[in-house]
Formats: sequence, structure tokens, C-alpha cells
Amino acid sequence: MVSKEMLQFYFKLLYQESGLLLDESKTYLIESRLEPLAVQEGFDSIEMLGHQLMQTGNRSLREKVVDAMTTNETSFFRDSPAYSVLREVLIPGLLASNSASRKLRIWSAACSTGQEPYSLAILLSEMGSMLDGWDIQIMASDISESVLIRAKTGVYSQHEVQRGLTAHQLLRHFTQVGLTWQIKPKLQELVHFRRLNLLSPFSSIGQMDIVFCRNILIYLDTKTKQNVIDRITNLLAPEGVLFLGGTEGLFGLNTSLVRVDEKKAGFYKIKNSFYPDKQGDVPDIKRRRVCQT
Amino acid sequence: MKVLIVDDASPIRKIIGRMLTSMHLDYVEATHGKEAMTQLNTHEDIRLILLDWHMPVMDGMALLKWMKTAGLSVRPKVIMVTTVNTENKIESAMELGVDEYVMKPFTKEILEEKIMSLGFSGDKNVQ
Repeated sequence: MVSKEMLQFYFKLLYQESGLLLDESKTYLIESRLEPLAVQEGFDSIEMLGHQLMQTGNRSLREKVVDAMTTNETSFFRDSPAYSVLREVLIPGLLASNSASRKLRIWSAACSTGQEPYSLAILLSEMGSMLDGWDIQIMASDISESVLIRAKTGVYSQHEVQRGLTAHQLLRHFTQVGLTWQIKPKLQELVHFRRLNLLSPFSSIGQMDIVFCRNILIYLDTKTKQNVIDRITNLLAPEGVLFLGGTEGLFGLNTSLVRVDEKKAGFYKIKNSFYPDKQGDVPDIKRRRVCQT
Repeated sequence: MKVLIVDDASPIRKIIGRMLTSMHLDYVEATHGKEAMTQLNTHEDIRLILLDWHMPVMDGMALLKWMKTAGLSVRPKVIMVTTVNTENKIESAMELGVDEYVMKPFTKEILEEKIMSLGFSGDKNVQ
């Protein structure tokens, strides 16, 4: 049982380091995530781990606590409608609007163990010749160093590759290595991983056409959420799109983003960008594409 | 429409059967390929087969080969559900017309997802 004082200490630490907002209703989360870490680091309890952090402020230990609390389970092509709408509507639209630069920039803002950015790489590779000659970059970031190390390897267990990937995709895009599966180098090269805390400045990553920032906002308070969304909006290309998690929204925020629902997926666009904010009204994209091809 | 579970291990058939029931899918069983042939000839409404690889009497690959020439009025979709998990074996099964592949051990979510990806879910089945 963790004392109230210790819980408050962890809540404060996590809020300062990652914006993660927890309260006593999430005590189970603290216990289930930090107990294994305490054992691994040689402490008898979460309480002892906390005392060590209070006394020494050990930077690496603080990061391990944040890692343990912010790492989320994920899978390939999670929330599949998002990928369908990208393939069928949004990427063709972006190819039309970016036809002069022939560049496409995608950011997976909380990539965890890499399934999300690799799913995007798979999706793009399956779009065939329409992307030939395009300069495509997928940036994948996470606050946790340990998940990034795993993500960069592109190696997944049998269980992980069975979640979200079809058998055809598995055979086409992965190579078996012992009991694990390694994503093929051509796809791996599309994804650039870097450590990034969304609370820190990130404008230097440049303009993005597609941003996936899923299952983070639910953990943030309104003020932090507003701050993160404002800065993501600032780097969205005029025709860019933002995807949030299935249960997340921008309710209560002051934002220039509007929600668009299309093909069972919800995403956000900058108000007055060419994509209409009227539900289901896709022809603008199609018209534009036709005009430019 | 029915699902045909073909597996020599009765606990596996039971687990899969329970899962199909929870998905509102009707099913019949076979313990090897020969029994599966009989079931396919008896139940013309079988639209999905969950097929093990290694079984006595007649294995899964032999059943797939038979299905290619059996002249079934509707070829059911096939999900291989097996401990065979090497890349070249999976490839050879896919070449024989397997639609999806589940490596054991699997979770309920994984098998459910594969079944649904082929268009089968309760009342809204692909006929």
C-alpha cells in the first residue's frame, strides 16, 4: 500500500516531467507500473523507490519512473478507420496539394514501441506508384528512451505481429528472425526516431502534413492540453491533418482546428483549410486532385 | 452460415467454439481432414474453416489440396490456426489458398480480429 504522501510525490513528479495528470483513482496504475520497476532497481517497495528519488533526485531513476508510467500498449493499424481514411482520402488529397514540393511529412508524436509509424510506412508502401519520386519522411517520437530503443530495432514478437497485421502484410513486410519478426529495411529507413517530450519546444521539427498524437491528451489537464494542441497546430501544414485517440477530443479548448468525420474516422483540420469542415463533403479534395493531375 | 473448426485437440475446439458462440456464429467440428471433408459435403452452408495443420489421418495441407479440386459450390474462407510458425511454411499455406493465418498460442482478440477481417461477425456475415 502506497502512502498518500508518496502518491502525491509521484503525481507531482509525473506532472512536472510529462504533463501526466493522475489522482488517487489511478493508484492501481502507479502500483502496477512502478512495482516491477522498484523490484528491478533493487528496492523493497514503491515507497522506498520514492524515498530514494526524494533524497537524491536521481535523474536516470526519474526518467525510468516516467518511462514506466507513460508506456502504452499499442498494435499495428490500431483504430483501422484512421488508416483507411488516410489511404482513400487524405493522402491522395495531400499528394495533390503538395505536388509542387513532392514532399510528405508525417509525425507519430507518441510512437511507443513503433507499431504506429511502421503501420504508416506499410500503408505508404502499399499505395504503389503514386508515391514514386516523393520525398517521404515519417518522424516518430516518444518521451521514453526505452521504448524508442525497442522501436528502432523494428523487431516484434509473434504475438505483436498478429495484432493488426494481415498474414499477407506479415510475409510482405517482415522477415522472420528466430522466434521474432523484423520489419524490412526499406520500411525501417522511412521512419526517423527521436526522443521528444511534448511539454518541451518542438517547433524545430518543421511543418507536418499528418500528425498522429493518440492517447496522450486523455492524461493531460486542460491547460497542458491547450498548450500541446496550440503548438501542434502551429506546425500543421495548411492542408494538414491531426489524428487523436478514439476517445480523445478538443472539447473545452480554444483552437482553430475543426473535427471532420469521414469513413468512420475522426480527424482534425485547420479551420478554413481547403478540406471542408462539413461532414462527408470530400469532393473538394477530389476536384483539386483532378485539376492538378 | 456455419464455421467449421478442424483440430484434433478437443480443448482447442472447445475454446474456439466458445469464442464463436460469443460472436453469435454457428459452428460444426471435425478432428481431422477426412472428417472435415464429410462436414463440408454435409453442410453446404460452411463459409469459414478454422484449420489446424498437424492432425492424424489427414492434415490441414492435405485438406487444402482436396478443396482445390473438390468442386465445392462455394469455397469457404480458411484461417489456419496452428503451432506451425515458420515463414516458409506460412508462405506455402498461403499459396494453397489460406486467407488468414493465426499462430498458436493466440489470444481471443487475435482470432476474433482475423475472423472479423474476413467479414464474419454474428448476424452480418458474408454469405
